[in-house]
Amino acid sequence: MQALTNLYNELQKENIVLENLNIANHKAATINIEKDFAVFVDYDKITTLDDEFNVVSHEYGHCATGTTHKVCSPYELISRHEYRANRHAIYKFLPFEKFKEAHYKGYDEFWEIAEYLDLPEKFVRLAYDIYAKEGKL
Amino acid sequence: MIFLKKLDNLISEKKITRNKMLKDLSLGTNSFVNWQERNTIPSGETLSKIADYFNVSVDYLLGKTNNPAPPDSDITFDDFTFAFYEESKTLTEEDKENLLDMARIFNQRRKERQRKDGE
Repeated sequence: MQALTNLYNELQKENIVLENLNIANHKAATINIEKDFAVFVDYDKITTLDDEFNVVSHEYGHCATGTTHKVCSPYELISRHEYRANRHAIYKFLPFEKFKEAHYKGYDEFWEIAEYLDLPEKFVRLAYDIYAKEGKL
Repeated sequence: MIFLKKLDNLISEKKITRNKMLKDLSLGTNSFVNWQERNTIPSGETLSKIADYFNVSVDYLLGKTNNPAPPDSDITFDDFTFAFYEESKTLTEEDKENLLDMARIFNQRRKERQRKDGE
């Protein structure tokens, strides 16, 4: 999957540290110290390339938007951060123009768009939700 | 033996050789043979020297922890922010331990990077 290579290139370009670590209850986490970011991924919990892309691109979104929080932060803030991380990942790896292009070529089902764009179907569904919420669809 | 495995990893990460490390620390040229063949670990003093040389803790060298950071660089929840993938409303004690581990590892990487940049 080319998108996965692009994603890891972005991490490298942005000097984001990537570590493989056993994490008890989660597939991944982002840590921010001062202006630096690290993404920790428990690759033992990642089963497919699609899953890997979904997880790492979301964490990349946290790094790129600086949406990390302290322990005991209100859940409303955490939810907003989750949304912004997802939205950034979508803008970066599935911009609306690409989404439209797939539609114009006659691909309507999520799985068809995913196949055409070589992206995970879950990621395409997320993009649809975000663009629909923005009134673009 | 965990100690030797950890040590070889550190040597390889630092892109040096066993001999270079022994020379830098003024340790005997047969040290590795002794540790390997007699299945022993170095004395406390030597372990400390090796830990300082690689900027890791003795516990890390002995495989007692996965956190390479020496004890004086400990980190608290005030020193970092985070986001878990699919975070739930409440963090478990295990989550909090994981967070501190990750922050320590990351802080260690940052220090290594700063050291390299300064060289």
